[in-house]
Amino acid sequence: MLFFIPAITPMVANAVIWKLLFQLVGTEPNLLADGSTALLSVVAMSVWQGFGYNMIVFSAAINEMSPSVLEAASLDGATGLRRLVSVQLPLISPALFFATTMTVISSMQVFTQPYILTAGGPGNATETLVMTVYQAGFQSRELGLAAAGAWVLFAIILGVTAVQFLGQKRWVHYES
Amino acid sequence: MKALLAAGLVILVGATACGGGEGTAGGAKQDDGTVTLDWEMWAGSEEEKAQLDHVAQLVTQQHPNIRIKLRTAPFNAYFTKLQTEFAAGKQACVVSMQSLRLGAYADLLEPLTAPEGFAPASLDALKMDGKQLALPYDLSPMLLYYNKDAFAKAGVAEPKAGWTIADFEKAAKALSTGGKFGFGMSFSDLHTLSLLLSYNGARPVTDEVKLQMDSQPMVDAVTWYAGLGAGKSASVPAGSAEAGWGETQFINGNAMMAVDGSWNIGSTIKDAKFKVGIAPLPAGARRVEDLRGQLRVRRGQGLRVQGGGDQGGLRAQRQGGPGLPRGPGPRLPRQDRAAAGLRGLPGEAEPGQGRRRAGRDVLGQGGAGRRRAAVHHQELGRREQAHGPAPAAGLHRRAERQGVAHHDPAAGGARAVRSREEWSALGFATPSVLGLGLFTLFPVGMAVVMSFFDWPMLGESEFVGLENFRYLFGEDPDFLSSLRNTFVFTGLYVPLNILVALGLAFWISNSRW
Repeated sequence: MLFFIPAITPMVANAVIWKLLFQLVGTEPNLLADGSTALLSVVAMSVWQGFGYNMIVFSAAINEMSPSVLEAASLDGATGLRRLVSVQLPLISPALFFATTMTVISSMQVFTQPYILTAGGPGNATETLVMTVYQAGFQSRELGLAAAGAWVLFAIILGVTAVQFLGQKRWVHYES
Repeated sequence: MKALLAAGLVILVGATACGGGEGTAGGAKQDDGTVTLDWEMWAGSEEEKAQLDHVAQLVTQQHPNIRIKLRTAPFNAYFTKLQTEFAAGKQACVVSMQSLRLGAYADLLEPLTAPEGFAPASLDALKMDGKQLALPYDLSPMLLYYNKDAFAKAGVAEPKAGWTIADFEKAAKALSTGGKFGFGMSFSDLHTLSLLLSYNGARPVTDEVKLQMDSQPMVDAVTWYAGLGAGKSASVPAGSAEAGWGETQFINGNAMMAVDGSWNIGSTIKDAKFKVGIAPLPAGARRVEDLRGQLRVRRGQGLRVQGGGDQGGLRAQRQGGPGLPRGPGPRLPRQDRAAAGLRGLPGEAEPGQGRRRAGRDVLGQGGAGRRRAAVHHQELGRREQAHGPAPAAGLHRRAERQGVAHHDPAAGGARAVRSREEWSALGFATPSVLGLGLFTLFPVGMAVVMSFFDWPMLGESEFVGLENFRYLFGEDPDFLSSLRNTFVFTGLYVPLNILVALGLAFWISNSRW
């Protein structure tokens, strides 16, 4: 369960520790201070923080894979990559669908990691939509503008999620 | 001394239209003619409070019929409290703030008549549209803090008044040895811009409130500042989230000089494990002698000056510029008008409304039936698709049309029991439905409304139609890039997250097949 620890540790604490790691005084290159690597660094930290939850979901789905189907596949001679792609992934596709949908929604709303790690910088290389909304609302004190930005974000998330739901027919297999 | 003043930060007091009658917040007038005025100020400790109380008592000594009642909050919470009080009409009669914030409160302050004795420039700096909005209370200059021990050890002469930029550069270079730096750089507005101002008079914003970061003096000054870091005689902030880098590095003993405000003298001396020296900022080629230029109040300009996150400073252009119509902004003389800013919060009328709506649609019998019928309909629809129409579909359809529960055609005897059950169900559901309505649906609805308004946190809101959206996509310097960043983040994060999670899940699940 070592892998799940990042997911249950408070995000802010994780981000602060990663910030210290990224900018150990005297280390070069400083990934957070470079506009071309800052966003990648935020992604790396976020993946480390965020995969635990999906791992649990997948792990549960893997354990629920029907033994008879797997046995039939192995009798038919399916091994390795073939077994993974044609048998196992389709079997857990509902979990994959759930995980991708939820992860996309939450990652569109990302705020804490860039806020702590880079405060949106350098320049605005890591400033995300929610940070812009936050700044419009609570630093520029333009609540109307912030509300408009929030609605743009909502519309985008709604659109992306709708596309995912429409697309699930092509690749998600529900049993029975 | 004037250069010092120019780089400093004025704390001021302004008078508000606070409650006048008996029992209202902000101040009161007694029958015997004595007036009590509330005074809002930040204070971080009992000592500070005692000092302020002493000031308040001096007023009563001079004017026996005036009593000052002090209200304080720690600095970090002070401006949140102040805004909330203004929005609720509970503001004190006398409020304090830093001069850079004055523009945002301009419409809420009463014009004053300045008494004799103030330096004219200091009064001019607190004027807007010809009105004296506030009076100076205190002045906090930006200073050069230095590590006395390090200077002594390296045999470098300590900074003193009249020190020049050349002296500063020489000292910074001499003190940068053994992994330590002579100077701690910063990019918070006050800490950086004050030194640039002192260097060559560079100012980031014109008198017309336009950014001029690309003006020649600014380019020269920033080039010089960046050169300190490139030349290894100054510690460069490790990341863009490190707004207080120079000050922190100074206190930690990693940088031997830093720029900071006089308000931190006490805490710096307390926290530093070395002898702390203080001097005026080093003087550059051009002495700055215009107090007004730096401190003039600008409408709508809101700078965050302490506690990190200083991006607000660069928004002056958008806020003060002609972009969004703000209107002449009549002052808010009475409590009810001041309360306008609070419309985003649950008021007195709305919760009841929410309850009625919730009761009708979600919990009512018809509503519940409709919902159930709808679910069945959906399931049936899917089944129909697969196997042709199910036999009961017609019945369900009819039930749905009628909007009643389609199951259990209600035997007479069971009705009383069922309705009691429904009442208790209603009772159980009410708190969470109320909570949902109050804390989710209502704010969501408000957000829809607010997105069509120019809705400042303080002051009057105004319907602007789609102007906010047009601004976001047309003019906002940050919005499109933040949109792009969000998509890039999602595009990288989701696949990586899924891959890592999937790989580890297969690994830890050690499936037998």
